[in-house]
Amino acid sequence: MKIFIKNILYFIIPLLIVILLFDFIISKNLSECKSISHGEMGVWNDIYKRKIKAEIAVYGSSVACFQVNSGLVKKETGLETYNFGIEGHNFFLQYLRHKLYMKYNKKPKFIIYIIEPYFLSFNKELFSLEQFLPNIREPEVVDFTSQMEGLRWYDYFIPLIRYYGKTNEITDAFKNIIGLRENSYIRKKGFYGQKLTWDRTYLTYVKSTTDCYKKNIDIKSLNLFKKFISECKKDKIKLFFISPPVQKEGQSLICGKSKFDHLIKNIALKNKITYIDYFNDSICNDTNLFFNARHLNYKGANIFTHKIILDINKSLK
Amino acid sequence: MEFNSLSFIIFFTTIFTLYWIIGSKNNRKQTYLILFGSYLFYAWAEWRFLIFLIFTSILTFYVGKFIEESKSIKQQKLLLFIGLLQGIGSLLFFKYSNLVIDSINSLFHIVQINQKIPRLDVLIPLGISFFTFRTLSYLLDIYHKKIDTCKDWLHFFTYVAFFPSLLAGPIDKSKLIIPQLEKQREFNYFQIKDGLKQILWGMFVKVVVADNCALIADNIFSCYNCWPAKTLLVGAFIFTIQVYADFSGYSNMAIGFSKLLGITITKNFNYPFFSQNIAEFWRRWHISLTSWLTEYLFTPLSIAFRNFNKFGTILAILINFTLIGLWHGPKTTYLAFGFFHGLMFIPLIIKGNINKKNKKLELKKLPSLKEFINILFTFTLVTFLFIIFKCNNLEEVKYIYTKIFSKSIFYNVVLIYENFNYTIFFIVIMFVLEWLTRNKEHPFELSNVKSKFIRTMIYYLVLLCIFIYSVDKGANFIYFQF
Repeated sequence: MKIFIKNILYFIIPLLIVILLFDFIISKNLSECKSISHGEMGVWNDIYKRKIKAEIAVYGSSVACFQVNSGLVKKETGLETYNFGIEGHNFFLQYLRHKLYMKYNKKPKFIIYIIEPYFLSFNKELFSLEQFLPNIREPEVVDFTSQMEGLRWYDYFIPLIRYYGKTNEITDAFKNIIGLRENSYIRKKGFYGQKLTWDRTYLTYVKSTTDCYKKNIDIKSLNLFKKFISECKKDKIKLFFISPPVQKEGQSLICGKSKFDHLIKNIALKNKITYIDYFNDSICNDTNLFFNARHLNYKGANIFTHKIILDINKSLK
Repeated sequence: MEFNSLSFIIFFTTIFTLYWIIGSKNNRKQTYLILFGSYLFYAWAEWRFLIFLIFTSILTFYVGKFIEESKSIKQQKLLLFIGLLQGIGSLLFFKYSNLVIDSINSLFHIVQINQKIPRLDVLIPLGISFFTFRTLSYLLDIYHKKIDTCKDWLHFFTYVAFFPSLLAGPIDKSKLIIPQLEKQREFNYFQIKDGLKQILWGMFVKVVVADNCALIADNIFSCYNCWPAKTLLVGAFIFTIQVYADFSGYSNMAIGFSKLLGITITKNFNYPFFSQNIAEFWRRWHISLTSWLTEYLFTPLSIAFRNFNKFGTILAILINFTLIGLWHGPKTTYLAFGFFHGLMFIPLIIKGNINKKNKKLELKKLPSLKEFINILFTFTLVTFLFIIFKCNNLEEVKYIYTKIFSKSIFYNVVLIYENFNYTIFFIVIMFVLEWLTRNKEHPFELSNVKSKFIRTMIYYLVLLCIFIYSVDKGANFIYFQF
């Protein structure tokens, strides 16, 4: 028995050291792989490394990161801009990004919030969870991601185990060490313009599965959103709410838009926030500006960005 | 709770520690721990199944006892009948009742009776086929006076529920397990070390090879009409290797965990893909099931049909293999899988080669060309038969066979799986290691590697491979469903 325990310890102790070392190496290198999760890792990297000195911050989901060109905003306003749009996530996770941005970087003066009708619903699935792996022990990350499905309870405190079976992520990290990985930003100041042309596949698919999307407002997210507004007020950050354009044919797939509008308008009115609705803007009639029913392509994004700036420019002075 | 899950590792580490610390000088305490662990392990999946498992144990224990105590043959026969009825009856009820109902409904439809019996919504207790075969062999052996009854309920209940082999075998005979439970188990460093190595091998084969194969095979077969012939063929080969890696990986882990508790269980696989004909394949594949059926079904059938000479043997083989197929579940594809395997024995029976054993190959470094062709032929044959096993119905089987033997076999193979290259690499590694160590119990004995440092490095490397190349949400063990 003694020999067994001795030999097991001889086997396990170096293994534990290797595990800790690997955890550190993989996490460090993975966080440097900026293109992971469609470029989300690049944004997180900028946040954690305190690289953001924006005066205008753009918030939202993919409709933000695909559709608001930070470079163009800077060109037209002269103000440093960063797009924090996080693909596949609603307000709950957008708020996590906001918290971490505020924690590690200088506060912005303005936040342009791209608000979709479903942004206050709660999606349990931790979409693209690999983007959270390197910084999983960050208290805010633990707090938010543990309320969603994707990571297991032990992923938060047993070193390395969260990378179990993540072949691509581990390979990426090791490729990064030996310089085999192309590691430039795929987003420019958070903007992820899509040089794609109109494709009906998404629209046809959604039409074949449902009459229209129905998602309930999550009370927890709503309260968090109200908290976010009061925090911004306290920090003297001016907010703009923007409802993005939706391709004409795709508009019928969105249920409860008026109810949602009513809620947001009330919140905006109560807090003296500018709310601009582009849901039915002339952009919506031109399919050449979209690549699917919900998202503008690069060309459409530039037009949309220009329109926003024209509409809010006075307020930015 | 699967062997490769964190919950099982925590569970087993606790049992293992208590087993050798608290129970080191008291084998009853050790056995209690195994029984408690086995019931906890079983209830983890579904507590209601545990009631059934305990009921089966109680009934078999007392029926066995009464058979032995009974003086009258008629009474013994009646008791055996009760025991078999419970075992076979529950198997039929849980696994095949819906098949029977469907058949009756079809019959009603044919004879135009406007009646439909509703299907039963029953959950099949996990591992039922495995522990029922254990209890059946126990009763049959007592009846045939091959063994004495187990006097201690604790040992018997532990034998039936022994957790390393509870869910997917091996199907051990009571005469192997119960004597080991009765005597004091000593902490044997070499046995435990070997057990750990065998677990590591099983884990590698299951997690790295089988789960990656599953990703590819499932993808190909889930859309079998999307692919050209070559892709389907690749899918069939990958699936065959998946089943082997999955089941043999599980069996190696089961044997390894048993060794850690100081208990030896039956070897279930003996490198079946190095077989030179189908009979040899079945002597090396799922050994505990084939030997069970040989003892309790094939041998009695052969004796009953002995007057028909070779035809009698063919008949016995066909019945035996059809039942092996059906043992997997109530599907026509399983039935066909078994039946066609049986058919493949016919040339061997006619030639008189069915029991011919090729010992020479085990001593050689490389096979001769003829042996290699035989191995390749047997593997291909088995692969083609596993297509039946994989399909959901016979129409699918027909479609795939027709497609494979069509012109599209000359089209390029279409494979879109990013894990394909390294899966093939690990399959090759698995077979090379198996070939090199085919005279040993498992490839990780590494007795040829003299340096302890190199051996340790190999184990670290394997752990690293398991860590990196496992599938995040790996496939369940295939044989759990049986």
